[in-house]
Amino acid sequence: MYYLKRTLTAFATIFFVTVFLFLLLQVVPGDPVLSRIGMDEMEFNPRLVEQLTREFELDKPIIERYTNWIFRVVKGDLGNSFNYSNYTVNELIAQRITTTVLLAFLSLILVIIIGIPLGILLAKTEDTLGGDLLNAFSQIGLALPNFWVAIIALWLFGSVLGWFPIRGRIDFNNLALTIRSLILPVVTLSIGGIASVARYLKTSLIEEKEKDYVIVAKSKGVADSTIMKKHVFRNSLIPVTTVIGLLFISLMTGSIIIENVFSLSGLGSLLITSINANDYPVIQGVVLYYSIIVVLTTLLLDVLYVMIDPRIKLGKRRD
Amino acid sequence: MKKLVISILILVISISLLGCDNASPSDNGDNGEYIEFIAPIRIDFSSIAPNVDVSAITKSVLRNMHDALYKYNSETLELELSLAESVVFEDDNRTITFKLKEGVKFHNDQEIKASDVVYSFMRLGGYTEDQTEVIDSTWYNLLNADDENGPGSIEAIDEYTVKFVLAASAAPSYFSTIHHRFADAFIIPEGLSNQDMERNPIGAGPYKFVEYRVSDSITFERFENYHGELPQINRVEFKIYNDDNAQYLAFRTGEVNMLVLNPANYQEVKAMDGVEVIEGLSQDIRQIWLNQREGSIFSNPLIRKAVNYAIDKQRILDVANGGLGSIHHTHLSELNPAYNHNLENVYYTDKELAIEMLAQAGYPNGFETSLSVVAENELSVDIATVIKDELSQVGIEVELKVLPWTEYYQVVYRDFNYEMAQLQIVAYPDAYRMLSRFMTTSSNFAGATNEEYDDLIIAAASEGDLELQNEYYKRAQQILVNDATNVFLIDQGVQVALNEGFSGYVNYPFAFTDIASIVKK
Repeated sequence: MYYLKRTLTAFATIFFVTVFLFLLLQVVPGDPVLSRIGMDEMEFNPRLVEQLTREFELDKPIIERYTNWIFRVVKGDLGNSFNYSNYTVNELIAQRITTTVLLAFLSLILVIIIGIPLGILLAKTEDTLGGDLLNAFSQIGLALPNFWVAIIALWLFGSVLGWFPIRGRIDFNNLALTIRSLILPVVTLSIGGIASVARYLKTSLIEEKEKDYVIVAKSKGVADSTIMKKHVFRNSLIPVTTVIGLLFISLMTGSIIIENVFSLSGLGSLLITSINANDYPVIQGVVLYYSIIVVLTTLLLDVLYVMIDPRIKLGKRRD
Repeated sequence: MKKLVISILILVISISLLGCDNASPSDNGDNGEYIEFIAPIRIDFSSIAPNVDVSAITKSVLRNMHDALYKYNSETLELELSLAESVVFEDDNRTITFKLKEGVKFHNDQEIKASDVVYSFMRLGGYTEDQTEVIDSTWYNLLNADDENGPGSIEAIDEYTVKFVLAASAAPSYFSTIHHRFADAFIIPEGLSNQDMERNPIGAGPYKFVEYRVSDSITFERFENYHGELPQINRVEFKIYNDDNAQYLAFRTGEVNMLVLNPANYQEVKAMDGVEVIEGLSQDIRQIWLNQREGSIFSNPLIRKAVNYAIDKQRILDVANGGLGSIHHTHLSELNPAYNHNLENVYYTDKELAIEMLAQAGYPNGFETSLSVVAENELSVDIATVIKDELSQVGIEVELKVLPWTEYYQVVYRDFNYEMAQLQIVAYPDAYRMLSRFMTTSSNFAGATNEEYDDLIIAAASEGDLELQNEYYKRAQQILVNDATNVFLIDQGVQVALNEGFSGYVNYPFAFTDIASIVKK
């Protein structure tokens, strides 16, 4: 019942996102026809203006447009782009989704393989000079805006040292270029996540270490390393799992800016281009993709969390 | 041992990554050097089919791939026949007959025939079976077969002869500037639909299409059977860089060979070794439009003149544009043959005179007004800030209204809901297209009316003698300035840098990055 309820809520959320977004785009000032053909043709080519208005269905009432759109979406058709005159929204998204998912996924891996050991190190070195320094670095990592880090990284590693291309390209026929193109964006995107996972894990470990069962285990003579490995670390990872899930969402959305700085052709850069061009079908399509990813990830997290701690399902957990 | 193996592996991978993708074709067999050129562009194309996407960036790139009946000479910047070897303009000012050059080929090696020309123009007008959407309103109007005053038509007289009869209603407005329209109409093979052209565009220009990666890049290769002089550069790639800083860094590292400069990086790039900076005028006209419709404060010419005397244009150039570019005095660039040089000293900065004029107009203490600006145009916003300060010195208090372009277009440009508005007009080499926007029509942005001006523009449009035509345009500009219709501000200029020994960039009076003009020293 819990899973069914949660799944229905997820679908309802996606539905409300589509309605809200559709209405929002009608309110925001902007004329897709003007963006497509420019000022001169708007003025001197009324026939083309009329044709495009009809083609974009801008002459139809909002409800009719929304119903037409949502019925097409249910069938898997996100419509045609206003801006890219010869491409469907599905084609445009398909061309770019790999870049965005790859960027987010690789960043997540980096966050895990650096963030978790760093969190343990922070917990272990608490109250030492080294620990304070690490702590300060992790705070800086959290505070730095990733677009700023991206620009600095581009300048230092791309321009001054020349180690990486300024403008990346994801091309599986050229694996070396793809890897070199991904290193800076992935590292930049991960910095905030690494800091946040490390700090979260550190707090969780310290809290866990002070719990009664740890004291009991110690009094029974169980070795510190065994307590850490078998009990404290495992228990501390449960809340971190949730954070990592939410981080994936944050990395997906964070890539919108990073893709633009590194000129990578992903969903984020497509979204920015489409907003500038008032390309409603593409904006709707990309945001729908993002909301599906967000909703599915949170759904998955909820399910995982219940599997880890069944008290949530029963609504019994109070702490 | 394990650590050592891992370290060696990492080292090997790193070395291979650093080296791998830099491999490029280094020779093409003739004279040993295969020259590649990479140019950055800011935004993607909405279409790569010819003439469909009218944005300046798209045009500036795709022109490399196409050719037309006329084209601009890269040295004189004057129009000359290109795909045609001769042309006859009949005295009726409607009939034009072109004789095509024989043996000229498209990129698919098919010879260009009259039927291709007919198809190309019918497509632009939206008159072919697969192209019912009007691509260019000029050709929709000029080839209109239903024109009651005299139908327009285009026909292939024989394999190499094409005859245009322009629709009688539209012809007078276009006839004097028809050469420019021919130069903008790209010729494509008969029967190729937009769908075909989106995937594999074919033209007859010096470069042929190789590859287009949406939102990433477009690549061309030299067309070895080009009918004109073969360019030196073998392959060109236009890469999209969404971020200006990234473009600049890419130029520094040599990742791209060209950079359009701005006041922030101009000095630094100019000081770089091995970099050639080409400077010129953009020919776009930045100006303040004064809404002079009845009831508006600017319907009084004295106030319009006072505003013209109050603004220090040199300060605008220095503060907002780093001293680059030049000052405008009329609605034409000084490079246009129809430009009136006598207007350069009509308005100079004289704040005392401006205050005096305001007093004469009944505003001894000045007045409050507003200036609408396009938010996306950073330079416009900077200029507006200087103007606000300049006008406040003569008692005119200006409220800045910074509006997003689409809102600006509807509220300010279409509904004329403004007092002062700053708007940049993109330059065309054709004076009629520039000056006709001040004629007394309902769409006249400033709301200016002057019968003498209207008559001069009509006379120029139907005048075949170029000198006389320019004389009419010069007189029309005199009226614009005497009436203080607008405040003409600055031309921000064009500063383009080339690195790695490239040279020869030509600054055209319209959007065109002519790769064929660039050479490697």
